[in-house]
Amino acid sequence: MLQLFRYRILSLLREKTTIFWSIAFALILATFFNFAFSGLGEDLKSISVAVVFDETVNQTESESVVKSLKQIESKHKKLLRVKSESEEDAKRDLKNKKVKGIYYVTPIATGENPIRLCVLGSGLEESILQSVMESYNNQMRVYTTVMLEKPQKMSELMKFDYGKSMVVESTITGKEVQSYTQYFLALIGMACMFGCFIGMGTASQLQANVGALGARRCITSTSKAKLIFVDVFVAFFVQFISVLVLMAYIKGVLKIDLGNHIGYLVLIAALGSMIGVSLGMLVGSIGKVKEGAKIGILLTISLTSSFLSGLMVSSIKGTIEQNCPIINRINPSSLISDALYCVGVYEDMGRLQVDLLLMLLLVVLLYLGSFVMMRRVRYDNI
Amino acid sequence: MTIFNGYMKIVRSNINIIIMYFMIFTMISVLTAQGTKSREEKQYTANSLDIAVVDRAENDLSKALLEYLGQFHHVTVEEDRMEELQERLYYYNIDIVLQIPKEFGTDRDWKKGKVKITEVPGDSTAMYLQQQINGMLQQVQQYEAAGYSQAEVIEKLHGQKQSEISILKDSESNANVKGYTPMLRMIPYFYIPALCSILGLILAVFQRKDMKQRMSISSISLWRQNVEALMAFLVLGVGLWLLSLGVIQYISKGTFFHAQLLPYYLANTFVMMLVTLSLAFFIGILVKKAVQVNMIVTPFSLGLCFICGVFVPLSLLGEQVKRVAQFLPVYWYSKTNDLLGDYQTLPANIQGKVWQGIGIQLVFMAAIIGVTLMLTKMRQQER
Repeated sequence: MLQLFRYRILSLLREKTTIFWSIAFALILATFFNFAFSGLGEDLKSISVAVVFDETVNQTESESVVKSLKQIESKHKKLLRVKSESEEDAKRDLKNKKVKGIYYVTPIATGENPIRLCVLGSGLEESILQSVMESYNNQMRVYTTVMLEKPQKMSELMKFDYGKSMVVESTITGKEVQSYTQYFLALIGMACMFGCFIGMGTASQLQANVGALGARRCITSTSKAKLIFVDVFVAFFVQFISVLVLMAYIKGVLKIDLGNHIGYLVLIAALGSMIGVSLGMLVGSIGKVKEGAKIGILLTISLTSSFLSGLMVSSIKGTIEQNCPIINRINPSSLISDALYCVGVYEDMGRLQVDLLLMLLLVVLLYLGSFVMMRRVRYDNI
Repeated sequence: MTIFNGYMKIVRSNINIIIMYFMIFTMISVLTAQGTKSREEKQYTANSLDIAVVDRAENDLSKALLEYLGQFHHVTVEEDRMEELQERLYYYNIDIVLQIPKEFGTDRDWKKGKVKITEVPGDSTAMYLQQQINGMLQQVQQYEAAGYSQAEVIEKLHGQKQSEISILKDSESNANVKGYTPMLRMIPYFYIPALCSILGLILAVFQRKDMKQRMSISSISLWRQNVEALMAFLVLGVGLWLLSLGVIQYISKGTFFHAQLLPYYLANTFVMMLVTLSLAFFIGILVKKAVQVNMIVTPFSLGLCFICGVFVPLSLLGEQVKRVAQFLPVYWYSKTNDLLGDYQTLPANIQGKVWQGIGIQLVFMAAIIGVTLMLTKMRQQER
């Protein structure tokens, strides 16, 4: 038995390129992800805005408007880059996207809102310009109201501190969760699913009608059950190690928080690897179908599963959870990433147990399916 | 044309698999485009955020604040279950969580009663909401400083006139998302895995030892073999290109073929397809087995797409990432596509930038083909 293990491991290790890529592909992708997300979330740059004054606005008033707009800060950075110019120049700059909007300023005394905004369309920066304008107009409204109704209080109003913020940014549970963590969890799910290619290779080498090696192995005196057991175990072992390497790389090198429950992480890696390998065995044991077609089927399943778990669009899993949660309960990649989420982010052990149970159920079903396909096969002609 | 016919024969014998590959990547790129589109549309209309509020104060001022925010956003008052809200935030089902503390509005110095705001990390929408909340609460404080009671202030806020916003007309520019833009941005993720997988499958046949030996002693020169191989690839590439145009036309509900900038879009996508063919040719000669193609193509295509603005818009990527991405052809495709998406008609200075982007992609293609031909020559000499 030990000899069977030894030779199986040796024969797998001799497929150097396949082994290398099955381990390296996820590491490369994780590095790409880390690099791509490294600059994500850099603060919004200052927004350029043109200010056009009505002819009736005097110089003191215009200087005061520009000064107060320039003073607005967000996250200790100037929010706006203000330039005062003629209407024609401002429109040209807006068309050429040199500014995001134009503030038209009229005298405060008219009773109308003193600033109105002109933009090209809707967008985050345009919305910020809108909220700045709202704030300014509202403040001016307070001044005119107090001036009319309680002029004796104007001096107190002038002392008002505009720099004070009534809003504070915070995290919810005290744990900073980066939104892009989801991509890494989905990537681990995908790495597990890609174990299907090792599983497919294993199944092919156990069938006499697929290749010469399969034919030779089928006529040995060793029982087929033993061969299947050894092949499945070795395939699982290689895949399991590659997923553990990936997890260690993501947690240790890329410093993505996967939580501190190492035991659970290893268990998820084991069950995930089993799902991948058993899926490959099931498809690989279909019989005399072209290798390209089997690869295509596995690629469809693993990529669709990864897509639905949020590998390409991180919000997709949440949308599915709201509209059709059953997909998240049967999709292997979603189960793997959800289990990792429970360990690393949510720390919900009840939900984790459900995920693990569903993964175990999938493993049993897939292995049963592949054993049924491969057992007691007799060939009249290969 | 023996080599060309040979390739076509392999294509015919694998036609079902090729169709399957086309279908897989069409489906995934369409779904991804639809997924990013809905997220992007939400982001580009930031004046309508989904805000979940935990109101622990439940006083008149907190209600007035929620009413004020409700004029611009979709505001829902939630139970005080913060972990559940964190999960919804994590999956982008809500944009912001707002916590109003018990002391809200009772402390005149606003030291204790500050509103807590939590956004998705890396998002910038909180900045916009902060402006609005501060603006409204400053108004309350100003009135209170002038001697008005809180009830009087709330009354005054009710009847306030909203500020005026206009859109610049007769503009060549376009600030809104066009129906076909997300799918066009997804094109590299459609072409690269599909063409590399299919061509890898075909080239794997030519990597067989006996086939290589037969071809190396044939009277057809290596140059001719490569040219005919590239022509065969071109047939497949054009097929995929036409298919992608059909998919974009379908998704955009028939508007794509009527786009004013259609010739530029066609040129950009066609050149991207040529670049992909050269990449597929390069990967194809490196691998010996079809299964290895997917192992290489999957991280390669996903990685390229992540750092070159396909899945995450270029405008959101960090400066360092963009500096590196400039050395990759997909970046120039995305950049050109984004430029085209920004305009209805192209001003002269932008036309130059568009052709520059397309030209750089062609240079990449020529370089990749050059390296691949050199590699094939070296390999033949090694044998």
